Amino acid sequence: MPKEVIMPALGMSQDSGVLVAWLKQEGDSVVEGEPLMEIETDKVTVEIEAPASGTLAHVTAAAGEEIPVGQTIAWILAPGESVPEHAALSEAPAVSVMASQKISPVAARMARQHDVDVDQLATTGSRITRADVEAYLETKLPEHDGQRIPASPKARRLAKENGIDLAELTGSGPDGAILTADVLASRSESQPPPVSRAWRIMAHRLEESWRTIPHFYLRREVDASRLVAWRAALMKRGIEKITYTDLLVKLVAQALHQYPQVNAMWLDDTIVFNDHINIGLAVAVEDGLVVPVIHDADRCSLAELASRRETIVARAHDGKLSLDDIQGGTFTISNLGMYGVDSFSAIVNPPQAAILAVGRIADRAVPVNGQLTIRPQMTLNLSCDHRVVDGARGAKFLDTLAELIEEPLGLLG
Amino acid sequence: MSMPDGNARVITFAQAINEALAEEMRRDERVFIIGEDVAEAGTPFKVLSGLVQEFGRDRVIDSPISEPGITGLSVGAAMTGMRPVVDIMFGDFITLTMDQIVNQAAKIHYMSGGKLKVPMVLRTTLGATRRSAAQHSQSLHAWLSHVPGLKVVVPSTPYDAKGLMKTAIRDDNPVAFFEDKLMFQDKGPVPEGEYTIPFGVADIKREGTDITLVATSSMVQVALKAAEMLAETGISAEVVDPRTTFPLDKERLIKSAIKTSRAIIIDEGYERYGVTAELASVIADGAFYYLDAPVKRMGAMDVPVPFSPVLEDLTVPTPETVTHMAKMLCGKL
Repeated sequence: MPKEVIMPALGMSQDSGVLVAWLKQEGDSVVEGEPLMEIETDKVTVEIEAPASGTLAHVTAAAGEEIPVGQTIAWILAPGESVPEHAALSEAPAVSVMASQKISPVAARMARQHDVDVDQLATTGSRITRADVEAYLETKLPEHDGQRIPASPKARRLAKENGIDLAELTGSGPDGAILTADVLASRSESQPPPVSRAWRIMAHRLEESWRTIPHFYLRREVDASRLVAWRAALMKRGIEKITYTDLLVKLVAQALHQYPQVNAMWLDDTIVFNDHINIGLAVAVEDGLVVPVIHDADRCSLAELASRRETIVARAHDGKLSLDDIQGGTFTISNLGMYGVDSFSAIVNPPQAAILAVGRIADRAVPVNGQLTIRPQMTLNLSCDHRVVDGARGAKFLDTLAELIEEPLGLLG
Repeated sequence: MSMPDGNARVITFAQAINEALAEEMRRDERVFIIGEDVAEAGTPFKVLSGLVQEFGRDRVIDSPISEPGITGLSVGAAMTGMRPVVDIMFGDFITLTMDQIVNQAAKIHYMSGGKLKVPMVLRTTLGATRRSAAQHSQSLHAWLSHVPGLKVVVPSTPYDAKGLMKTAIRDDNPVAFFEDKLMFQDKGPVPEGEYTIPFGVADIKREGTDITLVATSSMVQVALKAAEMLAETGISAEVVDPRTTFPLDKERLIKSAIKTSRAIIIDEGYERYGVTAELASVIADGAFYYLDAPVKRMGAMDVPVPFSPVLEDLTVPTPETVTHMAKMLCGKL
């Protein structure tokens, strides 16, 4: 009778064992009681004796494999005997990762360790073995001319600890050996100073805007004489807190009131008009850019605008903005005049339809009534989402705004 | 670096050894000195001057020219309760004493099941560049460092020499004590009064961060000069002196190499199969994952020491060659 050789259970809770080595080879004749193989469990390594005398045949487990207890891993045949047919079919149930792919436990573990998709593995046998995984890794691992990369032990250790691939480094040592300094240099390159959460949010929002919003820009130079006079008058009256930004918020809110399409947004393939005029102010803070919002700016007096602006800008700098402070904006003003910028184009702050970029007020030589005159001038740039605002509508809004700036009648106070 | 406390006098290496011997002879009547030209002559290096006058011819014994004889009788004297200090004028001559030292002195405690001990000191010399030719210029301390049962001392300063000599005399094991011939007139601070230095404790002679120079005996001064030169090129070298090759302070050697990532071992013995090999292997083993360069060895050249001064000077490490090697390891060459 053919006698099967199984992976024995050496302990109560043992469910698999590692075949350390065959002490007999396939085809060898064995005598019952003779050492046949070495088995390792999580506790011991022992020699297992042959359960019968005969010829060792149909060996299905290789040294190093982890095999479930009770699994048949070979047969001992008397002369003239052959392996039962059902055994040949049921060999090595192994660890079935895919219903279609059989894989040995060792191969499965290797595949897991190297993040190899088992479906990618090919085998010439009935199941995937360690050799198949090794062959696959051979083709996938970066080639270093088949040579170990020269590196000092310390450099090698540091690279490993920092998850740096030596292959990506250039060595400065003898024969291009990678030294500690090379690893440290690459580490400082690969780990830029950490970015704050606020900065990341800004980056993502603007990237999204730039990618999805078809921008166009309208540029207009305006005479700021009245604006300057207006502010001077307010300052004379002792209302020093009012800034050009406050004046611009007031005038922009007024213009938006006349052109609701600029105070709108593109949503689900349609233009949605906003019920409120909420103007955001781009504020540079220590760790990024925030846009706190002055809600219902069109209904505020100048003094109210100034006081609200003061509050939200202070909160922005203290990092204490509430959700309400930054939500619901329908239009944004970005003023870089205080940094000496003449003119710039801003990126639309989604989901808004437009943003006004304001440059500094500077004296320019301009022709007035055929005469060259020196006037305080200011350049406005309106960036628009073309899905919401077209050139003509944007131009009309900008024209109205320019007129309001040049003749801010009726808005004083 | 361990420095003597208080107001240390400045004395020579030879005076420091002399003081250690005199103090121990006063302290313990069993201590005696035997060797060639040790009495009135005070040795050719004048290390023992004055001792015969104080302790007499029974304790400072001039011997015939017979190294195996005086070593053998000293082993016997030690086994029977004395504490001999055998003077072997040139380290080269320890070859004559080898059976007495290696097969007898080193083994008796073990072979007698601990019943016998051999508390003797073999005082001898090492070092080349004294124009003494091939048979009087070798540094053979590696030979004795190789043998279980022996302790080997290689002091580099007057302070260390005195403290270690006193420890050697008080040790119940056979101790070989190698003194550099050219260092006898070197001066250094040595405090007044009693102190000893334990075996197996390396001394950091100079702190540094870029490279470790492990140096023994005569080579400590070479390493210190090299460190000085290296400092000028922006390389900070640490000089570590093991002080005894056995017992060996492996921990401090490894620690220093881990700190600096690089090491050169400098010893005046032959480089081949030498002390440098043993110390380098200790560091390579203990500091492997912290090393940024191979551990380098610098010892005496693989030749009989030449008599020609020009040639002799080429056979041993110098501050210049050490500096060169250090720069190479630091990638600054």
